[in-house]
Amino acid sequence: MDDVAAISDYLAGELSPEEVAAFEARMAEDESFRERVEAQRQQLLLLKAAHRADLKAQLRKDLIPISPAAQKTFPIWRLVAAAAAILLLLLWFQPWKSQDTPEALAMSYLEPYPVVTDRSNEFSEDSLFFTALLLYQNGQYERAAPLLASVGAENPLAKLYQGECLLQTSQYEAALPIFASLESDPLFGEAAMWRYALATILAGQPEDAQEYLKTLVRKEGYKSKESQALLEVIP
Amino acid sequence: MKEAAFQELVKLIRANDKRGLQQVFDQTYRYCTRTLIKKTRCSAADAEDIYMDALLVFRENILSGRLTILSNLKTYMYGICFNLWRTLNRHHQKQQQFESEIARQYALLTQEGAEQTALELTEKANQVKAALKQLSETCQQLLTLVYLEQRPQEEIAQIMGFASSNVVKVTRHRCYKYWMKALETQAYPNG
Repeated sequence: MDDVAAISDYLAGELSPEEVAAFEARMAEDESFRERVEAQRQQLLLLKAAHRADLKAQLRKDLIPISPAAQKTFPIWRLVAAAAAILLLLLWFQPWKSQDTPEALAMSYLEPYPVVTDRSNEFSEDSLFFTALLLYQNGQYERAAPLLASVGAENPLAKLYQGECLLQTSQYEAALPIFASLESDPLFGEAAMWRYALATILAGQPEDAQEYLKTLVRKEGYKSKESQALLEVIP
Repeated sequence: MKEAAFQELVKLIRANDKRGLQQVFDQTYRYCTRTLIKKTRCSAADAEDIYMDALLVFRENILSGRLTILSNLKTYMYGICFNLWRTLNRHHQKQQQFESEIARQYALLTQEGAEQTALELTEKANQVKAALKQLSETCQQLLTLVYLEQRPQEEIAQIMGFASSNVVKVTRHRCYKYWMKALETQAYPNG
């Protein structure tokens, strides 16, 4: 048997104990042979690592979105029901007049930016972003925020979600620079402007929201009616 | 886990039927990630990542025939998760970070840190993968079944439609040589 075949047998675990002993004795004696074996072992390990990485991404895509257990683990319906119940309670106890202040109106508009990503294509191999989105979707904003921050400054959607996490956890001042940096983004610029405006109002500086709100009204698109309503109550 | 249920699970996983791992996921994901977070105080993100690694190990153990009897699926899966956490924790203590999934998997496979950077490892892994892709479909499948999934020879013969284990061996030698040649060509493209 030639060397390549012998090495392939050894690395496949197909040699008998006696053959393994003879093979390893040769490795101990012959330095260049040992190096060849180790190089090929490393190549197989790299191939296996790549194979595992591919499989892991595939499993995430296959299992997590469709699994009933995942549904149980991330009970979004419960969150939605709880949020609806809280909203109803707030509406019940809150006099309508309190909505006249910019803060109250902004608070009523404060809803999380929806998870709009198609995980199966864009994010399947980026486990950090994927996990962060699961946490975000589950309302675990404090946990999601640092993960989203580490996804990278080059990803505007991750930045938008990071800002949203801060907004949802009342860290308005910290959210402002994040939304401001997205102002000119072609996809998320308007969503960022809207959230910047909400954050400034909730941070107690409603006058700073006016410029972005006027821009949104002028564009007659995203949240233009709500922007108009806010402009009407800002002194 | 009942013997019949386990054998059914093995059958699905061996046939690459997605329902097999989904069943494992449904029965163990919540328990494993929660217990891991509780006992190791790792983050939810780390627990999820470790669980997915554990699922790969579980699959490999089934395919290679290392796992033939299973009394409790949850406990077994948690055992894998905890061992993986320990391995990864050792790397973290040495301040080793995994900047790519390939680097992470390589560290888990070798149980030790690599001297190369994540970028170097990823590049090399892509080279060996590209070399494999140059081979015929038969060779790619055979080398995957032998070296990556470590399936028994008899099963490989059955999957590949070969007459015997001996044919598997002879074909494997030939395919392995082609792969080595493809790797050499990549390393020294100008001869």
